[in-house]
Amino acid sequence: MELNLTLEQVIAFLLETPLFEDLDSAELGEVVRVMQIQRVRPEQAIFKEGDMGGAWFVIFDGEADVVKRDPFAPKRTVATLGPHACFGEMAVLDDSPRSASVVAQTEVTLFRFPSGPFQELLEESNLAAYKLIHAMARTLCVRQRQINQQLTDLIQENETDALGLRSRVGPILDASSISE
Amino acid sequence: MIHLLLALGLAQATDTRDLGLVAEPKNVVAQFRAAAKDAGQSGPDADLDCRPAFDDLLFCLTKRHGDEWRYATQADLAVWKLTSEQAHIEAVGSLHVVDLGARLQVQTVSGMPGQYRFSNADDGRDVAPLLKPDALAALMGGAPVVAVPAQGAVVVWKPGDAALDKVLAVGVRKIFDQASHPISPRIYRWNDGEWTVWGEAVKP
Repeated sequence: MELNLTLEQVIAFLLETPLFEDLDSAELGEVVRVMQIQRVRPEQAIFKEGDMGGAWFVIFDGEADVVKRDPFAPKRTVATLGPHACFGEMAVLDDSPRSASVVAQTEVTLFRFPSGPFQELLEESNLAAYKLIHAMARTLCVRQRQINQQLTDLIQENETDALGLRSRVGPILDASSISE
Repeated sequence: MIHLLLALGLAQATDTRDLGLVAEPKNVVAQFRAAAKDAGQSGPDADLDCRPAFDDLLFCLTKRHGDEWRYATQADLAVWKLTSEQAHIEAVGSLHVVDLGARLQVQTVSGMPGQYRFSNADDGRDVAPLLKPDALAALMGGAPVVAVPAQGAVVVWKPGDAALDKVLAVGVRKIFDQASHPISPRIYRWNDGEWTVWGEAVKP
């Protein structure tokens, strides 16, 4: 499906996208040169968990679910992404397989930044590309801190549950052991 | 208004680089070239820098010259050593700071509930609302429709009230018909990531 999107609209959109906030319009013009526009149908996978990462993405329009494999369920949606959200950058930074699948919830228009041309910009010491890598690193730090906090909360919750269980179950066990 | 812009635009290219963008109908390029020819100019001085926008509209580059806004020409691009693409990107950067809430003034239709927003700034930056559909939707409290019936004139409202929709669509048509520099009688809506035609009042 053809999308009538102008360069002006792409630049205006990226100027309002947090990952690109350190770039001015001229720098955006440089990274837009390697960008592709991709349209995805509802329920279509943008990429699958375990795939090798060949690009990172920005959602221009529509919504997509981040889905993880779950041994106890067919799938588990861990987040829903909307316009201005960036994803897929982890696999580009460390060449690792995708850590989750991303599936279009609605019709989605994506800005796709292929790894190869983006790496070439970095090799050319392109300032805009370096600013984006810095922004990606910052984003990943924020996500890592959030995960650390969630883990800490989960551990504390489990410890509290275990203590509560011990306080409730403990006397019964003691009593039963006495009766034996 | 076109007369002013044409007259001023025919001045020599300058090294000024305060850029803007205006929406224009496709025939503006030929009109400008003809006016330039009448004024004894040709070549890069007679060629506007316009790129396709959507529907039948173009985004044309403007430049500030003192207190006035003029069309930028290919001669300007040569002076600035910019490609058309680079100049339009720079213009988008300057439009990014435009405060839509301040630019688009709230208006009402006498005797009717509801409101619309209107700007008649004529400052070479008409395109700002069209480049910020998300901000425009936030400002209007939902997906709006937009019209650029004449140079400098932008009309925005949130559709849904049939009576208000009709009055405003007819109003857009009247501005277009009476303008010295008409742009488009069509009304556009941001739909699945692009501006599409929402409607147009036609003459009976």
